[in-house]
Amino acid sequence: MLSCKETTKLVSENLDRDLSLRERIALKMHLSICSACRNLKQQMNVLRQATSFYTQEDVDTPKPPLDKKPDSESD
Amino acid sequence: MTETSPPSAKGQALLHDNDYLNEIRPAMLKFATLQLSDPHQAEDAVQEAFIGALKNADSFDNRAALKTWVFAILKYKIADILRFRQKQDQHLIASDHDNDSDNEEGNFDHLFDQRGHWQEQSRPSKWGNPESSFQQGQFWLIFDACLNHLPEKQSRIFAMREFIGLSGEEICKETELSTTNVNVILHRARMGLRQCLENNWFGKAETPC
Repeated sequence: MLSCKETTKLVSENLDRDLSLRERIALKMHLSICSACRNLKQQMNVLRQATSFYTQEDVDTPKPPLDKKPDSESD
Repeated sequence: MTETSPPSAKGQALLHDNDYLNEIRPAMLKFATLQLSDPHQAEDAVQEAFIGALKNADSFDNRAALKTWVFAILKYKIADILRFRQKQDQHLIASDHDNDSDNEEGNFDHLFDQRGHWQEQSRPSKWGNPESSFQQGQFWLIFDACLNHLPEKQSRIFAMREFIGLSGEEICKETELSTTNVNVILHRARMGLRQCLENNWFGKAETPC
């Protein structure tokens, strides 16, 4: 059984890499019985929403040409 | 068909709209400064982002799209500078990575008891309605302050991941840290940020559990 401390690590890493099946199961089990860690997970998700909002504020309209690499002015 | 619209005077006008530029400039500068820890380089990067955006100003007919685009260019600029810098002096990140990994790790120990469970008073609360927080200027002031409050390496790695959008692997390459290290740093950064926001914005709700 994961401790809360270990759970916070997995919750964070889940934002950066694919967890193994074993990790996913352990995480799910822990979250199902621990509301504090569920809140932590929500908070970390909010952090991610916030960072994407930070640079993309009020964009609900045309996608910027992100795929077009901005050319660097080398002068 | 309006598909090939003439060079959008509107987009050009937006870029020459000093009020608007002045409005987004501080946010961009702050963003760049956080990444680069060098006000001059940050200033240059922002300037270049505006110049870059000017070249493509035709594609924009509203402010939101323009802002996103300018930020996107800024991110590329910053990533470029960071890459260049990493090559030049890897000591920036690498040097302090040996000595702070232990004491920073200890930062969160006090949140947990010996069995690794949350202490009663440190249990995370549920953050209500974050979307409405995002609409408030005050929230972003606190968010910025919390970001700046993180140890420098944490805020930089966090920003590489969350703002620039580099993958864990890319961050490893850029910084020459191990994957484990990067994961640990990101974990600490998020723990620090959430704690700071909880204390200073979302407030401690009663969390009976």
